[in-house]
Amino acid sequence: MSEEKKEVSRRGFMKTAGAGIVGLAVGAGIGYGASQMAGPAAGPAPTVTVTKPGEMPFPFNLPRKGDTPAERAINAAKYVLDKHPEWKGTELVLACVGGYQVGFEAMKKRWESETGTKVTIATTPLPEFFDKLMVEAVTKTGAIDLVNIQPMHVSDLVEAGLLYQLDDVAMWIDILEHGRPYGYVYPLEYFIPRYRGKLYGFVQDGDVATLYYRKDWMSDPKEKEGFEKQYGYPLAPAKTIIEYRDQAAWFYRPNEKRYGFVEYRELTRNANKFYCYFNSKKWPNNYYFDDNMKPQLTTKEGIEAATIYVEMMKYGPPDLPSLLGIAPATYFAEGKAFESINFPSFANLIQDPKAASRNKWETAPVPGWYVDGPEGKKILNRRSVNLASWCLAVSNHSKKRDLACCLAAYMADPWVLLEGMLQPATWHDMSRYCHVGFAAPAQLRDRRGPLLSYFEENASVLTPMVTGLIAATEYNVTLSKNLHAAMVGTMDPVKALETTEKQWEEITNRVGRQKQIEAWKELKKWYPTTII
Amino acid sequence: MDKHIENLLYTAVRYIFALGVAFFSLFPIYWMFTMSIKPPIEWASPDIHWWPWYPTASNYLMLFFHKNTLLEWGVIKPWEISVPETAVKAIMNSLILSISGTALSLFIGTFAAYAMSRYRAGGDYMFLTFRMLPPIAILMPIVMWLSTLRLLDTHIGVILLYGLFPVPFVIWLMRSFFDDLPREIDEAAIMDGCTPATTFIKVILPLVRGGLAVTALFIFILNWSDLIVALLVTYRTAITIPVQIGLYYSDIGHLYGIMSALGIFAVIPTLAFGLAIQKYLVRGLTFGAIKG
Repeated sequence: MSEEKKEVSRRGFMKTAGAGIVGLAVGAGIGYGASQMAGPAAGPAPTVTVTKPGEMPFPFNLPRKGDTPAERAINAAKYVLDKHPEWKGTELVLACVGGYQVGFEAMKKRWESETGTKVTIATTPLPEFFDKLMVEAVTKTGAIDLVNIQPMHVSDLVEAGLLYQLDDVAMWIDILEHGRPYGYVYPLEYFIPRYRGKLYGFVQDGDVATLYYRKDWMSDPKEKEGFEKQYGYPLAPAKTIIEYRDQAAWFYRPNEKRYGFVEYRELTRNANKFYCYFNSKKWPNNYYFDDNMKPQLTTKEGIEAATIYVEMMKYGPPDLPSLLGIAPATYFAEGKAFESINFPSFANLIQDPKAASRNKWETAPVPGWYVDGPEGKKILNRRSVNLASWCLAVSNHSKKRDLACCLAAYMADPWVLLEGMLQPATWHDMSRYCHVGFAAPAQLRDRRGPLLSYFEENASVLTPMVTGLIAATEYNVTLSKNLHAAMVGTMDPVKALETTEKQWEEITNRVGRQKQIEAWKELKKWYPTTII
Repeated sequence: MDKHIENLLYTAVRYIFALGVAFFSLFPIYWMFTMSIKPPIEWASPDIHWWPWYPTASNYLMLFFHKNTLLEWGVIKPWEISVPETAVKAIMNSLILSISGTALSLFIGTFAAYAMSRYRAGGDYMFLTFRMLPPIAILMPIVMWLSTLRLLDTHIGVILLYGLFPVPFVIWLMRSFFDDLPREIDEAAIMDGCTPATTFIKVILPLVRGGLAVTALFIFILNWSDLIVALLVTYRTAITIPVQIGLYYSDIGHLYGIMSALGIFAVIPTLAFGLAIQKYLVRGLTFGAIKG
């Protein structure tokens, strides 16, 4: 086998080196040009704009014409399109996670027909969604105009400069419509789209945790008698987590393919559910952190909540540790589960005309704990949790940002939201007073059943997940993973909480304790003090 | 030890080893297939179901038929996990983008490799450029570049990336095939009146078609299985199968059965392509092997 020795000539070397330098120069030129064309540097948009005499800055230049937010938003969009004729017939890209498009596709129709613009709903896999938005925050391409995000994403995306501050738009187009009958159910608008007191999104989905149970099983005289005999108190909607556990244990009959309860307990998201067991353990609230951001998980209350949370695994279906989102609804809809603490969307599925559970279920305020209340009296403390929720935000780097703001405002209209809520398998849920209670539209009542009656009551004791802090997602996922280890038996609950506390401390130290303390104080202001 | 027993033992060890390797290679495919015909209740069952207790085709049907159609047919129930959109667009996109990207990279890379082999064009240095780095490291500037050219989420944008990213690989592979051909063949063709271009097209290319087929398969697999590029430069219009599979990891649940059904479907084109060019594979993989 011959081996040819190759020598590099000076000419060859100069050619190669020269080509390399030219390549680098061209690459740098393209990169620089792209960064210049891609838009302004990251950072929340300023709210103060210098104007010429007689000229008002956006959004105060928009007409305030129309009786509803949708009308005002469409009129504002028409004005914007007149000012920017190059945007006529343009396309706005709304990014959301896969599965959320069902509601948006229905909601966008009126906007498209009245403004002549196109709305493209771009879906991304859930695990990569946040990363993809971060790429947009860094590259500033303007390819995304609006993003539908969770509360726990808001803080990091604001810090990354992706989200446009919407206080002025909300005020000018008047999408909030404070109070009844059309305003947001309190305190949804304070938990979901805000960061350090500023508004960055319009609520799309009010995920207020609610207790669901089978009313026909509960009213069965045989079950009532048997339960009372075994537990020493009557069978009635669970007021406490202990009663919730007892009822799950009573109705757990795997031989009949009946399970006591069903919840989503998946690897990365189950902390949302744990908060339902944890947050009512103290009055007025069992907080995640103290005022110096020291985690409060390994307290006596935290350990009791985690222990019962893990113990409940015995009474659920076998695939409980993998259930996510609406997956638990299958068990309930097919008549295989007695109770659940779950999203409002759960009702949409279990009330389906073909579901075995249709008209056989009821809701109630979430169960809580008897704790020491004011003046040392024992009180029943119930705290619902804002389980996920989503809000529509506008990208700071959108090349049609003014128009995108109008679309976000349109999508926040109570009746446009209703269009989304009425779709089968939708994720859109109630968020306005006109969606719930006596005022609830009949079509919604048919799909959500009795849920609408208790929505406000549960919302009045609503607590947030870990949100409004930098790295909020990381805090929640860390806890979820450790609790999951406890649920599948590879770690005991106390160890899971201890490990989480250590990891939470590391996150806090990494992102800056003082900054986190300020954000935590802002969030704590909105915790409830109500007793129901 | 008796020679016969020694041979038997040797054979047994060889078979056990081969079976072990086969098990590790094929088990994921087997598991993916069984998952693709399991109903949701069996996707994450704590008991191992080696074969589905209730086999179903609904996961496959969800790839091709809209949810409302399946509801009408009674294949799924309204409260059961389902997907709002079919995977038809993603499948078509994957086919178009992977085939076009492979063709483009072969076109550019083969010419370049021939020039490098015969005329030392571009010097003697081989740069694998993009492939020397993890793709994520260069994707930020690429996203900006495509955005500037208004090619984000377009077929042309993705074809450019799938066509240009693998060019260094094509050059690297094809150059070794050209290097193995004696230069006398080129000289004989020129003596017979061929130009350099016709020499390349009519004489040299047919001689390396095995290598071309192997390189095409290799590049096609790279493009077909790409996730990270497609994830970051597509939004809706040009999404591909790997991105679509990711969409089934959703807030409504981890749709393992539907993911697996699409995964199984995704194996088919590569398998078909591989079988179609099988006669070139062995020859292609040895002839033109990179010289040490």
